[in-house]
Amino acid sequence: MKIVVVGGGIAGTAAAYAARSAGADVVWIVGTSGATVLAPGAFDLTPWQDRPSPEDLTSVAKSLVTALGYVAADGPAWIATSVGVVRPCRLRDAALLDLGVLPRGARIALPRVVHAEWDADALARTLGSDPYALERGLRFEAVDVPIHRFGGERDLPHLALAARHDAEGRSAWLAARLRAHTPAPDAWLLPPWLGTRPETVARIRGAVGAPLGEAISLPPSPSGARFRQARDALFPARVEGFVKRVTSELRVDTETGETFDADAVVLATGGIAVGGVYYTPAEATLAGELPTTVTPAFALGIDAEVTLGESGRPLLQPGSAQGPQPEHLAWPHRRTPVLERVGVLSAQAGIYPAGDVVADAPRTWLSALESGLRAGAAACAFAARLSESR
Amino acid sequence: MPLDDRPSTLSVDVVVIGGGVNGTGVARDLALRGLSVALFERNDLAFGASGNSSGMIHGGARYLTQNPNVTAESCRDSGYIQQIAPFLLHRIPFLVPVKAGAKGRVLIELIDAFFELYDRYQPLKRGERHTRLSAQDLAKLEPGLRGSLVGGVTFDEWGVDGSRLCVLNALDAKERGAKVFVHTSVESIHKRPAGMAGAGRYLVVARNLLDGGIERAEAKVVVNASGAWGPLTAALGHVASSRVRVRPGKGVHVAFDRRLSNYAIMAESIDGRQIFLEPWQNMSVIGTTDDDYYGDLDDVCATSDEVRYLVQGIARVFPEIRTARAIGTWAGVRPTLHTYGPLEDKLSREHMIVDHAEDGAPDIYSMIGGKLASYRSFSQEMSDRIARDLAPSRHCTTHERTLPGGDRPLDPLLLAESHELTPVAARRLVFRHGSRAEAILGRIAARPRECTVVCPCEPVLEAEVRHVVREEDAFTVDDVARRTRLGLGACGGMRCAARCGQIIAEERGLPPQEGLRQARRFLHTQAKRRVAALNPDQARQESLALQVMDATLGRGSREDEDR
Repeated sequence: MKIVVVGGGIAGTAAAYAARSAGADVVWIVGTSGATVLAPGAFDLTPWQDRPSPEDLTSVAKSLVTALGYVAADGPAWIATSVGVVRPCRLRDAALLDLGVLPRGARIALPRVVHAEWDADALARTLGSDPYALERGLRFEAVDVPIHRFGGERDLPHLALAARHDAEGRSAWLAARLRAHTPAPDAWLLPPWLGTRPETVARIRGAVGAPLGEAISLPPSPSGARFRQARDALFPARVEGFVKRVTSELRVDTETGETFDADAVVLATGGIAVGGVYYTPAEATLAGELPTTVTPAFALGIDAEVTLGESGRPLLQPGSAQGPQPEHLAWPHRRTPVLERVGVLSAQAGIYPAGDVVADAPRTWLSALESGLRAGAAACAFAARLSESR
Repeated sequence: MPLDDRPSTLSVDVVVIGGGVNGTGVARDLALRGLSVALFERNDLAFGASGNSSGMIHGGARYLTQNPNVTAESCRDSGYIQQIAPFLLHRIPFLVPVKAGAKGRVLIELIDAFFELYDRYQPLKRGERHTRLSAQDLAKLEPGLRGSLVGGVTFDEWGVDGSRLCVLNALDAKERGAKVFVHTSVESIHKRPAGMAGAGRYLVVARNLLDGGIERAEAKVVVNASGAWGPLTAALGHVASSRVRVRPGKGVHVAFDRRLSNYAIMAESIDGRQIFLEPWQNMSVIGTTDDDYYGDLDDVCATSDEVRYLVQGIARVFPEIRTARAIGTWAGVRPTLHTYGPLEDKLSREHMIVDHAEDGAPDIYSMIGGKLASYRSFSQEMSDRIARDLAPSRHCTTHERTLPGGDRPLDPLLLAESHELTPVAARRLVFRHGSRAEAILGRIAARPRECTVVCPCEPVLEAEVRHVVREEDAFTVDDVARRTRLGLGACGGMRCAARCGQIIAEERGLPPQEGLRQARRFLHTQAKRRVAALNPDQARQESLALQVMDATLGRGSREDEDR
C-alpha cells in the first residue's frame, strides 16, 4: 500500500512515521517545516494555561518523540521561559533545563551577558518570584561568567550563537568556563545557545557535569533547528516540494510536475498560521470598487477534495462583498478566534487531515503529533481495506 | 473629619486638569512665568487627541479663504514650535493630484492660485513655496499614483510627534517646579469657605489609579484642559456640563510598516472628504475619519469599517495601499466646539476659553477646542488670562525658550560612532530627545548592557526605556510606547513588551510579576488596536505571534484580557 503524506511539520512527521511503522510504502512531500520550527520546545496536549492534561501519550507517540530527541517525563517537566515564567509541560526538547528534577532549594546560576534578550539579573529576579520557584525554594542567581567569546556577539540573534556552539572548540570553551566557576551551582540556566544539532547539548553536558539547559526563547529558537535535524535523520528519504492538487482519484500533483498515485493521502499542510488554510477576503485583491466575483474568504492552499469549515459548519457564501470583519474573526476578541478554527471539516474517503489543518482542533504541537499518528494509521487502514476489496 | 481640616499635601497657584497638549502647554507657560502649578492627568500624557492626531502641525490652509487670520496664527505658531523643538519635526511635502478632464483643468488652476496665496504664509513656518507639476512630473515623483491625472500641486507641512510634544512640555514644566501627576484622576473640586487658612480658593482631590493613593491640592485657579473629557471634568467643579459642551469627533488613522511614498498624497473619500496618505516618522499613515462619537473616552478603538472607508478612498489614487501591511491603528476624539446640525467636517476647529465666574465658579476656566498646531498660542491666551491677576509682570516666553533637548543640535552619526550604535538607533534617539540623547547615552558608560536594543523595530535602547521611566513619568508599557514608540512597529510588541515590563518593574521597585502582567496587558491592547486593520498575510503573522506569546508569557488571566 502506498501512502502520500503532505507536510513537513510535526503532524506530517507523525503521519509518515505511523504509516511507515504499519509497513506502508510512504511518499513524504515536504515543503517547509511550517509552524513546527517556531515551536519553543516545551509541549502539552492542551494550551499550557489549561493544565493539567491527564491523558498519557500512546506508546507510538513516545517512541516517535524519543527518536526525535525529546524527553517525555512521567510527571510534568518545569521549564523557564526567557521572560521569567516557569511553565509546565508534558514533553520537552532535551536541551531545555527541567527545573522539576532539581532538589528543593537548588541554586541555579544564570551567566551575565550583554545581550538584548538575556538580562540575567532581571531574569533571575523574575524567575525567583514565580509561584513554582517560591514553592520549591529554587534560588536563581546571576553570576559573572562571561560567555561571549568574540566581539559583536551582543548583537547576534540566539540562533546564530547556537550555531556557533555546534563547533566543538566553542562548546568545549563554554563548558570549561562553566566548570571553572566557583562555587559550582546546582544547575545552569543558559541562553538558548546550546547548538542547532541535538548532539551539541549532550557534549556540553558531558563536559560540565552539573545539570544545565536552555530557557525557552522567542523564535527563531534553536529548538526548531534541532527538530529539523532530528526529523531529517529519522527520514532520510523525502520529496522536497509543494503540492498543487490532490484529486478524487487520490492522485497527488506537485508544483514541479511530479505525480504520485496513492492508496490514501494525509494532508498535514498546516492551518491559517503557516500554510494550509488561506485567508483571502475579497478586499485584499480589490482593484475597483467592488469585486467581480464573491468567494468565501477561506480556502485550502491546495486543490483537494475537502470541505472547509469552522465550529462544525461548512463555509458558505459570504455575507459581505468586502469579506468578514477581521475584529469578529481574530484574536484578541475571542479566546479561540474563528480564524484559528477554520480548517478541513470533512474530506472524501482516503484523504485524512492532520494537525492544524483540521477544523476546530486544539492548536498545540502535541495534539498535532497525535492527530498525525491517527491520520497515518487511518490512512493505512483505508489502504488495507482497499487492497482487500480489490 | 471635615475635608478642609486635613492638611493639604500641596498648595499651588494653579491646578491644570488634563495632560494633553493644551494642559501641558498651559502648565509650562505658567511655570515659566514663575507660578506654581500642579497638573493632573487621568490616563497618561497625550493619551487622548494630542497623542492620536495626524502628527502634523499644519498651517491651516483650509481656513485660508474664510478666515486668513487663523491660517496666519497657525503658521506663526508652527514656526515657533520649530524654534523651540527643532529636533522633533520632520518635513512632510504634500502632493495634490488632480484628475484629468475638463473639470480637472479648471480645478488645477484654482488649486494653483490657492497655494499661491498660501505661499505668503509659508515663510512664517519655514515652508517651501508650492510647485505646480505636470502629469509626467507626478509619475516620476510618485510612481505609485494611478488614474489619469492632469497634474498636481505640492505644498509643504511639518510632521511632529504629538506625544513627545506633550511629554516635553510637561518635562519643562516639571523642571521649573511644576508637579505632574499622571494616572491620577480628579475626583472632586471643592470650593473652600472664605477665610480658611491657605491661599487657595479651591481644593482639588484626585486619586492615583495605579496605586489608589489620594492627592490633594489647594489652588487659586483651576484650568480644565481635559479635551473631550471636558464636560465630565467641569461637573466635578459643580459647573453644568452644558457650559463646556463639546461635540466629540472620532478620528482614526491606520499605520503601515514602512514609508510607502515620498510625498503625502491627498485623496477624496467616498463622501467627498479630504483624506491623505502621509509618510510619518518611519512609517506611512492614512487618515482620517471624523465621526460623532458616543462611546467611552478611555477606550476608543478603530473598527474595520473605518479602516475600509479610508483604504477605499486612498486606493483610488494609490492602489498599492490594499496590499500594504498595516501594523496598527490609532483613534482619538477631537473636542470640537459644540454645534447641533452641521456635518462633522464642517465644524469649526477654533478654540475658546470659558470663564466659569458666570457659573458661580470664579477662577475656574475650561479650554475647549483647538488644534495641535496652535496649542502654544492657545496656552498663551489661557495663561495670559490667569497671569493678569497672579503674575502681571511676567510675560509669555514659551515661543523663545526651547523645550528640553532643543538647546543645541546633535549629530546622530557622530553619536552612533562614539557609542557603537547603529545610525538608525542614534537618529531616532536624537529625533525624540534632541540634545538630551547625550544624557541617555551617558547611562551606558555606567552600565554597558543598557546599550542593548529592547525594541528592534523602532529601535529603542534599554537606556532610553530606563530614562523615560525615571525622567518622563512612564509607569506602564503603554506609557513607554507613547514616549519612545517601543512596541508600535511591525512586531506589535511581541519582542519587547515583556522586557520593557521587566525594566519598569525593576525601576519602580514593583514585583517582577507585575512587569509581566503589564506586558500582557499592553500586548492585548495593541492587538485590539491592530486587529481592525488585519490583512491576510498579517492574520497569519498574528496567529503565530499568539502562539509565541502563549509559549513564553502565558495568556494571563481573563482580567488582563478584558482590559
